[in-house]
Amino acid sequence: MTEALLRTRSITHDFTALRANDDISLDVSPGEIVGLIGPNGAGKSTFFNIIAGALQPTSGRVLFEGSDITALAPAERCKIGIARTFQVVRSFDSMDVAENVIVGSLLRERSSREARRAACDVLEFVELGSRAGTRAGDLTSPEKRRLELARALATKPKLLLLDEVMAGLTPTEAQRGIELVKRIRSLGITIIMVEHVMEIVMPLVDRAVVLDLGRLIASGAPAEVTNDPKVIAAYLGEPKRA
Amino acid sequence: MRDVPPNPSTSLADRNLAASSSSRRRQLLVALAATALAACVPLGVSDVYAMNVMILTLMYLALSQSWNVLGGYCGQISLGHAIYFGIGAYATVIVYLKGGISPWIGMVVGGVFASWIALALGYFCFRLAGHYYTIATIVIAEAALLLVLNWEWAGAALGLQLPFGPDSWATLQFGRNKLPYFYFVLALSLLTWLIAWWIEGARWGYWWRAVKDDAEAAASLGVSIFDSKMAASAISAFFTAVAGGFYALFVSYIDPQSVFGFQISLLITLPAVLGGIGTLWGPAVGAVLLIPLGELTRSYIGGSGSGTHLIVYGALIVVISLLRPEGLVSLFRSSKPARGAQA
Repeated sequence: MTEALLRTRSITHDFTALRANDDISLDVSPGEIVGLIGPNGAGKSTFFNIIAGALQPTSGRVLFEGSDITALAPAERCKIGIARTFQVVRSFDSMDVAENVIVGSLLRERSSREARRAACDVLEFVELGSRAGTRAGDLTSPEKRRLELARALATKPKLLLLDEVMAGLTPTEAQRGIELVKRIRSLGITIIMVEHVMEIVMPLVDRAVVLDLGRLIASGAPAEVTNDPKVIAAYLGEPKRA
Repeated sequence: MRDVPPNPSTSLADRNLAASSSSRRRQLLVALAATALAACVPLGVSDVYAMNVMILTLMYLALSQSWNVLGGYCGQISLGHAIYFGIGAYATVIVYLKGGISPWIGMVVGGVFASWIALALGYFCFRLAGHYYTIATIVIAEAALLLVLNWEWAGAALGLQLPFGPDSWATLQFGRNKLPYFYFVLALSLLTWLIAWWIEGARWGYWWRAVKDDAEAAASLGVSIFDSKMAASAISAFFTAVAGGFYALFVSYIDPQSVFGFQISLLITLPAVLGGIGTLWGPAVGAVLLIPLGELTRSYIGGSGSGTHLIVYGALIVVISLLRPEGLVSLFRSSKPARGAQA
């Protein structure tokens, strides 16, 4: 078995009166697409933000390529190869689309000229090339999601964290999104995606990880997980009480 | 047969690069042309008063453009830039009076010192978000004013007077003929514009604008928010102080209120706000409109320090923010700006 790219060890996170993550340990192998699912309030976003570095866990450790990154700030994590998107899109609205992506590609390129070239290549990859000169604020919301993906990809990540990138998309747009995620994986990028809509995640991911009430209750192939009585109970309630 | 249709085989990257560099080149040419044009204006103007107004206009243009580096591009709204202006003015005069050192060097000394102060203040203040940062800058500039007011060695409330000497480029002293000051400050304006122009196409420029638009998203792309603000702040302070040094030489007498006062901070900020924050031309448009207007109203209706010119400023700001919240330069690009690829 190959060395895991990302490991979390006993991640626990307490908000004032709530244990949002309770002893979550997870290994993600290189090249994997992992879907992080669970009902509302399961602690998906908390766990996601701890991996991205936006939150510090109360206890537990995050390891990336074997080294402890628990205390690393988001900007530092990006430098070592962890990129993310946001649940609510955050575009740089005073800039045009190409410039938005340049902010990401500058991390790996030596000059802003090279960065612009790299940014344009990424824009074509996410099929946003025709909008390169448009102000980011003028994009439609599915386009903005693509822009966020392009920006994250421009930093050349090893691990890409996607926070509900399919939310609010029409079925056709979601289908295009799924194709895009597949193409991203074919670049060799490992993906962890938080997603609400089961029909989207299940056919796409190699492994589904289910959280409920802050605990990791199931992890396995999508078909296995959806038949797991614990998962069914988490989503639909206990059978005996139904 | 000059308009060749774009070659479909050229890549997006090539087209986008070409569009962006031709747009930048055009901006540069316009700036150089505008400077050349401005350089000709004094040939037709002999009135001393008009000359003074033009010099002040260009000085505030340079100041506001320096402010724009931090406030406009990096989004850190300072209302205390008088502290850097004052430091530059005092450093230049003190270095000359007490050390006999050329004011040219004095201006650079003032600039470097102001940058250090900006970094020291930034170290503490950039932990504050948004409005709290702005309030901190006001308070710190006021504190600096009080310090200098009580600083006996630097003339305290009486201020410092430069001795009258022969007209000379070496000391930047010109008694009657103000023309050299005009060219000096015109060059300074062009220099600050060039800094902003360079920033727009440079690594720091992209990072700063990202920090301004959404700091959290910028950080997620590997941008150091703190370093960005510190760098913008140091550059902004440097040029503000150089302009402060120029002002001291131009008026040859400074006192704490006239260089550290809050009105200076406002006059540094307003042209950029009026013309368009975070744009190349905003400070220029704002200064050319605002400063002569302020001078005229002050001399014709204001009179004995009643502050009528401030009412005019206030009214202008209200009108602009209602009609053109993005500043006057947005009038010139009612549609989409000609940047990037039009593919």
